[in-house]
Amino acid sequence: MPHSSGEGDEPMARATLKLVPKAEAAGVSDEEIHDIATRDRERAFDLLVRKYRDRIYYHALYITRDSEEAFDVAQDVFVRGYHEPRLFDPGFRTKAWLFRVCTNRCYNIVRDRHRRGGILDRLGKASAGLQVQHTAIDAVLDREMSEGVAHAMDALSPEHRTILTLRYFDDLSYQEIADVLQVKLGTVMSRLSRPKVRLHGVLSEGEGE
Amino acid sequence: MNCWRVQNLVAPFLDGELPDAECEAVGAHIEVCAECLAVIESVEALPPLTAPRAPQELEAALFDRFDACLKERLAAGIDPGIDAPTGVGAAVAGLARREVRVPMVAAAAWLGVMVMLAGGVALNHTKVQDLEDSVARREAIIQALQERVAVADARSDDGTDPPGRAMAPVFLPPSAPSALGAALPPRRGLYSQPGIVGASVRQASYDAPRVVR
Repeated sequence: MPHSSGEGDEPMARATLKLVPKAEAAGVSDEEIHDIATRDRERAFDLLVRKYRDRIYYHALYITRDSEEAFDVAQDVFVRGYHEPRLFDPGFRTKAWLFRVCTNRCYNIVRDRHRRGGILDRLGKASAGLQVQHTAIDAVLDREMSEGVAHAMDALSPEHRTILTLRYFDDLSYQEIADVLQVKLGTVMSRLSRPKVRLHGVLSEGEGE
Repeated sequence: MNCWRVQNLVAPFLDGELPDAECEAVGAHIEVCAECLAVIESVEALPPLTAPRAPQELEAALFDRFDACLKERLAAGIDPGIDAPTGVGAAVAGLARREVRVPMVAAAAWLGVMVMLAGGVALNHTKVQDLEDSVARREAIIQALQERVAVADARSDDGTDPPGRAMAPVFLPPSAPSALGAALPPRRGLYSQPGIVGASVRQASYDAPRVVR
């Protein structure tokens, strides 16, 4: 799909991605990236990838709990971003868009995984084959997620886990979470409060056993 | 502010994200509600939620692979099939990807019902039109016949028409009931002359009144 560069109607050229050093990208604000996109969309996209690839990857990893799935999701998010004509439009909430696309893709993967697991269980076959293939990163994640509060999060619903992840792992503001989940700010406030109260209950039950 | 509301605002209250007015209202509530105070204290006492991260060397290798793979995909122009079309295309693509929450079965059923409704409305409209046309034709026939009968009634016994009301033949449309002539009340002798104006025209009359089909 061709895209305008912002100034003219030149289609966005392919195969010119030159990822800039991460340190340079980290210091660039979203507004600056949008500003750069009006002159050089390719460079703006490079900066965007550098700035958000870690966070998008880890966001996908926290939801899917599978490093390879997370890798594919993060790739898809940025490829889709590359083809998204509004990505650098003034007023377009790029960060929220990236997290929203990522969250939706992860939900689909988790849902499909549960469905496939359910089918195999009904057929009387072990669904162990659908478990994640452990890489070194999966092993680290499993270890860290198997203890403390992160482990207690397993007892929460996927929706509650996602909103806690967006807030406390991905460090998004309340307004950004509202944009990602496409809900009102008040809804974000209540949706964040309930799982935290529940989390305390889960941890207390664990201590009592 | 009630307990339910306060417990829905625990997180923003502790994160300092509440507007001043609501923050004060929560503060005022927990001064008098031990239960809500206990909930807030318990949430505040939760260990911090920290994001698990892979060791740096693993991360470096991972993101090198990520960059190379992304470059390759963009260079090849590979579209993951999740490009965002708009309008009907978006709906169809969304259904195909199961990103649209409406199950396909429900969507198909809805579409079927809508098609049946539209067909029913169109059929009904056609039938109503036909009926209206038929009623209009019959009314025209009845009116013409009534005029003829009125003229016949006014005719004098010697058979002369009243002044200014000479009988003229009434031409009925082909759709008029074929038994119309026979249905007319016999008065001065009914006769009929079929085919006086071509094969499709029939004259039915008693005395001077003539009804021609």
